[in-house]
Amino acid sequence: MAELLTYVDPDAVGGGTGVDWANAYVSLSIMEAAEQDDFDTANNWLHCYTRSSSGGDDTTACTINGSVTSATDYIKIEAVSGHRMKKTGWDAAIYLMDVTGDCINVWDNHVWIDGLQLDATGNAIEIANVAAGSWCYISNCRHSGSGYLVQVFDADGDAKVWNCINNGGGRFTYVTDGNCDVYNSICYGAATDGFDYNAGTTGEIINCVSFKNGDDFNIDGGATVTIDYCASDDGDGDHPVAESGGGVEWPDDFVDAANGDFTLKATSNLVGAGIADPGSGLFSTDIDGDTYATPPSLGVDEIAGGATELVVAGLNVGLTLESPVLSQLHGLTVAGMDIGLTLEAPVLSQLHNLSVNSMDCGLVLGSPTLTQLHNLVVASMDIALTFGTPTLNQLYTLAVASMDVGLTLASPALTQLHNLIVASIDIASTLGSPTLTQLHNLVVASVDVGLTLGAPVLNQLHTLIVASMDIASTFGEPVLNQLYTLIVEGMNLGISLEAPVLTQLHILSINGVNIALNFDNVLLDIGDVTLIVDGIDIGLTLEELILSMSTAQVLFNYPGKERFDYQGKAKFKHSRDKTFTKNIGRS
Amino acid sequence: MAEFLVYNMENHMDRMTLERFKELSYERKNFLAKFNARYQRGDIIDKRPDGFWTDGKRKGFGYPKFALVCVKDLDDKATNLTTELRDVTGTTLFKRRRFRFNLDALQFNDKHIAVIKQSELTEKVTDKIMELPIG
Repeated sequence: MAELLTYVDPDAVGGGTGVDWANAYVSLSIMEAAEQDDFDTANNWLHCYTRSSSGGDDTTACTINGSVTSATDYIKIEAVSGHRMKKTGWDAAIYLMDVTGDCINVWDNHVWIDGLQLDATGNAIEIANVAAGSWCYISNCRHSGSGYLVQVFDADGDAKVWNCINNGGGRFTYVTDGNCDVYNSICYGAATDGFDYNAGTTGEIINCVSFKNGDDFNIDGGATVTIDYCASDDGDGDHPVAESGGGVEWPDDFVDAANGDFTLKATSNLVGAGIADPGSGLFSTDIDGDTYATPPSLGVDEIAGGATELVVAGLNVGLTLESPVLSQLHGLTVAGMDIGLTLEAPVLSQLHNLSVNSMDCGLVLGSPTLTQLHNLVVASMDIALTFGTPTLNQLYTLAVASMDVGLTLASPALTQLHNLIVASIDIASTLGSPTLTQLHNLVVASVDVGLTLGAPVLNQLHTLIVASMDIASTFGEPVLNQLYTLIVEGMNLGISLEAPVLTQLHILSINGVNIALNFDNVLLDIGDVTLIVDGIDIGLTLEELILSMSTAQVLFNYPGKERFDYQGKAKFKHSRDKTFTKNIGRS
Repeated sequence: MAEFLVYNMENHMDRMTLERFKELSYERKNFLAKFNARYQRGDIIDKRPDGFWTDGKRKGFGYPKFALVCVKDLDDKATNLTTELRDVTGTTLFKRRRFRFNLDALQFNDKHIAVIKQSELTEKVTDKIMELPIG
C-alpha cells in the first residue's frame, strides 16, 4: 500500500499540478478531479494535504465521487500542521472551505477528512451514494455555518466522527439514513437541534457535549441511537455528566464558549468524566494530539499529558514543592491538610488552576514560575496566604475566602489580574504595592477587620465594592483613574480614601455604614457624577472635596436630623452644586 | 471573459478492464451511475474570473491533466449555463456537467490556452448525451 501525496493551497501560484506546496492545486475540487483513480486495484491511498499560505479561502464545492477505494486504499484529506482547526476559535488565516451550499459531498466509499475548517450554508460534509461496507471518517473538523456539519443521506452510509466542533447555528448531525457515530465532540448554539437522527437511523454519541441548542438531541422514536457519557443542558442519555455551573455559556467548563473557545478548564466536571476508548481503537488523541486520559474528558480537549491533575489531600503535615518541573500540570488541588502548602520555586509553567482548600495553616508562594496560572482559589484556611514575588502574569482571577487571618500580597506582578475577590476573612488583608494594572473588579466583603491598600497601581480598576466589614478599609494613595463605580455598604466603621485620584468616578454609592466615611483631598472633576449617601449612622467627612463638575447630582437621604457631620472645606464651583450646599445645611 | 479549467485526460474508468468493470458493477451499489457521471475529456472542472490563470501570477493550471479555455465577452447568464449540471439518467443525485468543450475543435497556444469568443461557444461546446457503459 503506497501513499500518494498531493497538495491543495488556494493561494498557490505554481504550476497547479499538485505535486508539492509550490505547485499545489488551488481547490479541493480540482484536486479531486485530477487525482481520481482505482486506488483499490493500484493498492495505493491518496493523501491530500491542505493549507492557505496567504489566508485565501477555498470557495468551490467538492464532490468526491470518481475513485474506487477500499478500507485500506482510501482517500484522506488532511489540513497540514499549522493550518488545522483550533479548539480556541475560528482562524481566518488558515485553510477554510467557505461554500454557499455543500462543502464536500462524499460519494466514494472510504474517505477520511481531518482537521478542516468548514463553513457551509448546506452540508459541510454530506455522505450519499455509497455502498455497503463503506465508511467516512471525520476528525478534528470545525463547522461554523448555518448548515449541518455532517449529513448521512444513504442507508449504507456509515460516518465515524470524533474531536469535532459545530458552533455556527446549524446542526452537528442530520442523519436521515444510515449510521453516524460521534465521539468526543461539541455542538454549541444550534438554532434548532444539536444532534438530529430520523426514524430508522442508528448511531452512538459518546463523550460529547451539547449545549445552548434549540434541542440538544432530537432522536426520533424510530431511531436506534445511544447517548452515553455526554453533558448537555437537559442531562440527556445514560451516565449524564453535569456541567460545572456558572451560566448558560458553561464558563466553568470552557474558557470562552460564546466566542468559540472550547478549551477545557482543568477544574471542569467534564475532566475525566467520559468512558475510555469509545470508538474501540478508532482514535486515542484529542484535538491537540494529546493522548486521552483513562477515563477521558468530554469534548475535544484532554488536559495535556493525561495525568495532569495533582490532588494532595488529608495529610497531617503538608506538601512542599521546592523546585520540581511540572511543566504539563494544569490543575493542582490541595485540601484537608493540617499544616500547609509551600511552593518555593517550582516550574509549573502550564498550571492553569491552583485550588487550596480547608487547610489549618496556609499557602506560601515563594517565587514559583506560574506563568499560565489563570485561576487561584484559596478558601477555608485558618491562618494565611502569603505571596512573595511569584510570577503570575497571566493570573486572571484571585479568590480568597473564608480564612481566619488574611491575605498578604507583597509586590507580586499581577499584570493580567482582572478579578480580585476577598471575602469572609476574620482579620486582615494587606496589599503592599502590587502591580495590578489590569485589575477591573475588586470585591472585598464580610471581612471582620479590613483591607489595607498601600499604594497599588490600579489604573484599570472599574468597580470597587467594599461591603459588610466590621472595622475599616484604608486606601493609601491609590491611582484609581479609571474607577467607575465605588460601592461601600454595610460596614461598621467605614472606608478611608486618603488622596485618591478618581478622575473617572461616575457612581459613588454609600449605604448603611455605621460610623464614618472619610474622603480626604478627593478630586472628582468629571461630569455626570451621581453621589448617593444613605443610611449612615454617624457621619460623612468631606475634607477638601472639590466638585468641579457641571452636572453633578448629589443626593442625601437622612430620615433623622443630627445624623450628618459636615466638616467642610468643600468648594462648589457651579450653580448646580449649590443644591449640595443646601442639603449639607440639613446637618 | 471567463476562464474554464477543462478535463484533458482519459478517465481511469475508461481504462478499466471489462472484468474489473463487471466486478465493480456487481459488487458496488451505484457504480454504474458513478461511471456515467465520470469526468471525460472536455468536461468543465472549474470556472474562474478573468485573469485568474492568465494574469501572469500563476505559472500553470495543471497541464496536461487540464487545459484552459478563455471565453471573451462571456456574460453571466452564458457562464452559468456553461457550468450547468444535469442529472445522470436514473438518479437525481449523480450530476454531471451538461456541456463539454470540444477540445479538438479549439486552437491552443504554446501555453495550452485556447481563447474564443462567446459567439463561437455553440460550435465549440457539446450538449452531452449519456454515454453507454463500456463492454
